[in-house]
Amino acid sequence: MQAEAVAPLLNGDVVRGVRVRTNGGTVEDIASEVLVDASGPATFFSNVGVIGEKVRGSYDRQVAIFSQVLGGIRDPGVAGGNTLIFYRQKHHWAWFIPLDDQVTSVGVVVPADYYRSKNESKHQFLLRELHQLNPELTRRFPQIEFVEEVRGISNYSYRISNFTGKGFLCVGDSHRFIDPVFSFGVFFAMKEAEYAAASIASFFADSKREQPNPFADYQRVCDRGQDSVQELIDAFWQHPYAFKLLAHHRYPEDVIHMFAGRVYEETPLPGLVAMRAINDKGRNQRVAHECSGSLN
Amino acid sequence: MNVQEVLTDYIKEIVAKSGQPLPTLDQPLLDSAGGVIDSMSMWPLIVFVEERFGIKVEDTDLMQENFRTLRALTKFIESKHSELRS
Repeated sequence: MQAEAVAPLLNGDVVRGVRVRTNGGTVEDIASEVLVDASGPATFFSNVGVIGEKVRGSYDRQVAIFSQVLGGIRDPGVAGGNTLIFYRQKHHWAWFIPLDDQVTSVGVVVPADYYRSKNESKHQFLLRELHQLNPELTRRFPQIEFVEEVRGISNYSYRISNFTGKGFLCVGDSHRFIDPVFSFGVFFAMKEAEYAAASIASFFADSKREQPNPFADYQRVCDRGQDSVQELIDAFWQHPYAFKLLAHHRYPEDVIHMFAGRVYEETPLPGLVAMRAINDKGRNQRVAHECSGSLN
Repeated sequence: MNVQEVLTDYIKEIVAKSGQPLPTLDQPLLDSAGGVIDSMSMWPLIVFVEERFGIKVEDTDLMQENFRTLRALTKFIESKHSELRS
């Protein structure tokens, strides 16, 4: 069926299905015992009031301008498939992701104010940034031929609390997105889908039907993983020297494990504990600074 | 032991290789602010500080402000060991 979700079907606070509008224009109601919001940044359940509103994340005032380019000089051998990040300064960076032998996904992420100040089309902006952002990025694109339109996305950092309940749950971007710098978005979409499937199977096996929220455990696990990556990303952006020292010297294996997806541990890895401690210290220092500023 | 003098001698070795001028007490040390310590020389500096002064640089000590200037780094080291305070 080709259709668009229009509204949830509710019985009190229990989601019992979804109303859709087909491509032909007809409206149909589809009953369900569990409705999964996998709508990504469209955040269907939030938009229709099933769950709370989006709360802006730490990296919300940014835009990403991206497209796909033919060619792009890769590293030799097996490293040729590596994702590369080119960093100009804090919150101004580019990604280089080989999609196949011919095509490379490229994107530039900048503060929204910076993008607006350039007063350029998305196409002009991306073309210029690929030439100016970082010399190594420029070297990898001696010619630039876009093979799809240049697109943009903004205000992409958010979280929505209480993203599970009776008859429903959210997966991936439909409840939270932090920052694209480490490409965890696809990982969370897939991993949370895996956890959601197990949680739904357990629900159908009748083990949790009478609980106030049969998917509360699933929500806790999702939060644990996302919170771990939040600490990783916060440390990277707010304390880059400390991050590099932790990642390359003090806890290299822990950081590799986290990038490989070990972010759901009940006992956090020592490297994550260190990043959390540094982030907490930084936050406390900022609060103390703001308080002393407001008292003066 | 004069912490500031020991650190200055260490930084002199770095700038001798790079050709940059020796930073003053309050000029930036880190390369992000135009200083002489870059990401490659940061870890050797920490190892030197730990071994030379017999202190432990904890994870939460790796904050930039402790390495921002020669004066800040001196103050940080002295705070870790009462016998080092000038």
